[in-house]
Amino acid sequence: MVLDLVPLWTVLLALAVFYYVVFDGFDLGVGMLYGLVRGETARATVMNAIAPVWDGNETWLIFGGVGLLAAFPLAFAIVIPAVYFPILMMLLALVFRGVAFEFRFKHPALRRIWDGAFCGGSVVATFAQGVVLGTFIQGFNVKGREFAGTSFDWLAPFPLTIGLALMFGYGLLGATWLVLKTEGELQDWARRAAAICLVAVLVAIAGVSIWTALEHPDIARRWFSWPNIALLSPVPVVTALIAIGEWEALRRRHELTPFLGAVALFLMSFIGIAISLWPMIVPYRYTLWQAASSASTQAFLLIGTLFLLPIILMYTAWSYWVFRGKARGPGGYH
Amino acid sequence: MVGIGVIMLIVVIVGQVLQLRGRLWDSIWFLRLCQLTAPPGFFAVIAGWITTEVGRQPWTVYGALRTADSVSPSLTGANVAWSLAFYIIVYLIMFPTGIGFMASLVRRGPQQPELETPLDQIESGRPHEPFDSAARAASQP
Repeated sequence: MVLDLVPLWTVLLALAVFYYVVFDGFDLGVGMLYGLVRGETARATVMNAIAPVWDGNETWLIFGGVGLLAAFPLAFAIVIPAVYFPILMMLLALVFRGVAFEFRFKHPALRRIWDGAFCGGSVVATFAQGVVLGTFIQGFNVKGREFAGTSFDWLAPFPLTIGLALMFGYGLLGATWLVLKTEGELQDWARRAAAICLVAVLVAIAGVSIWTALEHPDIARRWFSWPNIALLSPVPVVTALIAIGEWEALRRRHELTPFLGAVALFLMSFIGIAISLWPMIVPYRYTLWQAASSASTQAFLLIGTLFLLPIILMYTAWSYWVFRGKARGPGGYH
Repeated sequence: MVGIGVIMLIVVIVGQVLQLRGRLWDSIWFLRLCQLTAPPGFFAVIAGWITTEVGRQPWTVYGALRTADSVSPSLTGANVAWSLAFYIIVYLIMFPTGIGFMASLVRRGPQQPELETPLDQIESGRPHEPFDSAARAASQP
């Protein structure tokens, strides 16, 4: 009996990408909000809200990217050249952001430069990730088994708008994380920022959904034809309910539920995209099975992954547990 | 590269021997040696990478796929030149900053913990930090 590993690898990579989006989403979001925070103590507190945990979050991006290369090499070969420059910009921005973390604490003389690097790096990295997502949904120009477009296909209205939308999305995640990790005036400020981002995110979800359906009649047909429209209607309904719940949670000054609500909104968006694109891994040309590497390759990779993944999850959970609680003031981590 | 690696390994072993003899902190020649072996690590890494990347040309997969055949079709020379330029700019910012920062750390030297009141001005009273009492105990005959 031969087990089809493609669905398993799809789930693994989908989880890796979702995990990355949520966890690096909040620390990039905090980075973007950092530029709007005034006052030295407040800024140090904001930094400390993510300082102990941000390193590990980026490793899921590596897992997603390398997993794509190893398990779905055709998809990697077509998708990555199409988004060459956004990925380059993202990597360099993440370099600046990472260095800014450490140098800011230890090099007070140049603090303003590192503040700029931290905030600017977060902005560029987020925008670049949104552009990659937008290009992915937009689809790729494929001839045979090769990418047939240019290195600048990402410079189009749809991907650039998704880049902007993701900035508000990560801003929501970051603001709700700050609600969880700070107190007093800073927490109130974070609540207000979260409310603004929530409205922007809802507008973005609605707008992008409609735009995608208009651009791609296949997707429109999948969502709006009978009986799909009945089966899939829970998705927008649940999203709307979560949005209302999120607004209430912010209004009622909850601590944890805003962050969970933001994560839930991302989950619903993710599910929506997955429903639209299934089973395409290279929209709109190759399916997951067509782009997959051989069964023996996927089996080989799976053994190592299934061994290491629980270890990684355990120590990640432990590190979040150790640094639970509020971030108070500048001390404590460094 | 391999030579540098062997040298570094010898330095580690020598250090271990000195530590077992209790002479690690007193052997000035060894401390100087450690200073000298700090940069070669970088050379070793870069030398290794150059060996790998140049040595495997013209193959991406030895015997099966040439580098020329494995280039993405959409990628132009200009694209790659721009990305190389960006990397160079970022490194030109990061490395001097990092080295400058490390140099200022070295120049500042190891930090002594500062006592809030100098020892000779404490006349009486309960020590408010553990090392106060330890310091006082150490200064008594």
